[in-house]
Amino acid sequence: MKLARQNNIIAIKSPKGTVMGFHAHNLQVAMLDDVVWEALSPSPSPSAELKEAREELLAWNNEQDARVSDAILPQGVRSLAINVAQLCNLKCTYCAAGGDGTFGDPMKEIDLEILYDQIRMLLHDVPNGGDFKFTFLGGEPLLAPDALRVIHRFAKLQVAGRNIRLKFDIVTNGTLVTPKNAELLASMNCHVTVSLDGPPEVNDLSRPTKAGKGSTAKALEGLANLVAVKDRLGSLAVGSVFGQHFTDVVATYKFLQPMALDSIRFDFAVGEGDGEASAKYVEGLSTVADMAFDLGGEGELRRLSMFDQYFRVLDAKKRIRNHCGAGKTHLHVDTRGSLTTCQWFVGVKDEQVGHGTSINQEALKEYADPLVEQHSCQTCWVRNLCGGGCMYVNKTKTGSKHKKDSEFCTRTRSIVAKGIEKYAEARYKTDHGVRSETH
Amino acid sequence: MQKQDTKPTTESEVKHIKKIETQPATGTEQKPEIRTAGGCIPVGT
Repeated sequence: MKLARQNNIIAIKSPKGTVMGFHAHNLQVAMLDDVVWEALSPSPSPSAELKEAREELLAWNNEQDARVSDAILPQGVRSLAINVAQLCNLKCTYCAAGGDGTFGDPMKEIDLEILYDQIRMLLHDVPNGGDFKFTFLGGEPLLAPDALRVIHRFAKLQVAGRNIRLKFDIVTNGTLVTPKNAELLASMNCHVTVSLDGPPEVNDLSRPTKAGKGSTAKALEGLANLVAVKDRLGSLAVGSVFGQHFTDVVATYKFLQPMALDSIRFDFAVGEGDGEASAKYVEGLSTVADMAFDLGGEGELRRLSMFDQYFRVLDAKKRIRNHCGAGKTHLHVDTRGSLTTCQWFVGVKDEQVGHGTSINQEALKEYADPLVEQHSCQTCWVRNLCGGGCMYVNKTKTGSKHKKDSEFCTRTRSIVAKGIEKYAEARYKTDHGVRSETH
Repeated sequence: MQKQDTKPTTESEVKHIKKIETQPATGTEQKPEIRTAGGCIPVGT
């Protein structure tokens, strides 16, 4: 894939020679002909056709599309992630939760008294007609299923009689999803993500039990129990982590593809010197995007969550100004009631923004501005799809939340370019209403 | 300074650039919204 740029316009040339265009400010995708591609390179004596293409490019570049606007985040906290337990029955090789799910402070169940006060306070501030999302994390949250049950019930009681929609998510390793626990999650209409990195020969190495044994068989058993209640779950997804330990995205996709999943989420675990792994990850994702599209068109491609997200943004015509809502619409609470803006800052004293019902508004001011501004993304062509990048990744790689990790940016630009290529492929119709061949 | 064209150019007016108008694809409207997964809070939340 080759890229060329002229101000707002990015041209993407696929390996098969098709040229797509993207207007970075207007979030618009177009098919370009070869003359436009040529017109993006300097030419001392351009032909009349080349001049015409340059004029078209200039006109498109200067367009102001009134249908496109900035995505506006709601005022106040609308999402709380909860460390239900700070213990885990697995010991994943890349665990960023203290290496063992404890964040250095093992606790088998969250302090419910503190949490209830926090939930009461946060839901009180949600206006009628608003939404609020709870995400159960850990450690492994299903080590404390009774806590999930009572938290769900308590939250529902708080909004009884008010027009507030609650959503419950959980990220679990799947090994403890017994039929009983699957039924619990179904009763909550929970959106479930099971962490699974790929086929057993991979997953057993990266996600072993504390005793060093493979966990895949139990996780697959848990997934089967979830599939059995899938019609009553909000959604069912698998999340896979790649990184220096593993980059075979294609093998994982082939393993997960036949499963009855609504979504497949691929993440990259950052680390020092991860440039080579990052490039392999991107290459694998690109192959997987083509495989998925060939297999089932846009629907199958959009089971890959990142591509679904890009399609959503392009369709909605809303410029994403924040990669996430950390510190704006989102907070995280650990098992002792301490608040941070992100789960990956749990246990880091400097990152604490409150405890119990006391929130340090002064500390949250640091998070108030849009991340695309805080991270100086104004000249990056993917800024309105990326939203400024991840503060945790930045801190891990550069030492500062607001100093960008160049590998992250390179990776994101490559994946977005692939997403735009597939968007054009999925949506472009010829004059006769037939989808064009773009690869 | 370039003239600002406030009207999106239509396909009939151009030869080299064929813009794709937003058109939600059939069959994807009911797809569940996936906004949370392991390790990260997704874009835009």
